[in-house]
Amino acid sequence: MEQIFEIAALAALGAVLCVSVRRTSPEYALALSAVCCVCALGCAARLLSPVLSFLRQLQQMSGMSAAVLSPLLKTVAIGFLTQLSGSFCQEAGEQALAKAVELCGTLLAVYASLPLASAVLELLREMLGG
Amino acid sequence: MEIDLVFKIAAVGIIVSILNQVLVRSGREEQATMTTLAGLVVVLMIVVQRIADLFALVKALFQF
Repeated sequence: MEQIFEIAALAALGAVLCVSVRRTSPEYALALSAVCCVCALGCAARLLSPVLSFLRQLQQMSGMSAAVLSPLLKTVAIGFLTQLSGSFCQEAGEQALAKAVELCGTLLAVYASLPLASAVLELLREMLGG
Repeated sequence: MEIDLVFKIAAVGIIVSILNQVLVRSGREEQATMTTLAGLVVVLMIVVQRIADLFALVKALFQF
């Protein structure tokens, strides 16, 4: 859990450096903030590995098929990347790009969860005997 | 945590902006633009590599 101290220190340092660089060259400030975000998220994402293995263990214990858990994880990943890239675009001042990325993320999340919806439909059909 | 990367990019930004100022004051606007562009390409290469690493990590983690 000591990662949170590292991430907080990185964010504070990155913010100070961004402010000092932005006056003369704003494009470097954007790159600096992107690298800070990527380093912090990479550090946090590595900690997700035990959580995901616990989820898979739960899935195996409950006897669920992997086809049910997979769309859920894919949707989480899509949300993760959409939020990150949308924030980059917003910081660069490109609101339209940020909105387009968010919209595409929403559409792709719906597409990724389609197998789950069809599995639920199939289950309902079996239950109703149709 | 790769904190040296943050310092590296900030250092490149500061050096390029100083070079830019010096070159503009001495009347070499073309070289100043080229220096800024070269620095930006170097920084973008670092940033794109890190972003690709993060995407690969997410891809492996969530089993895409």
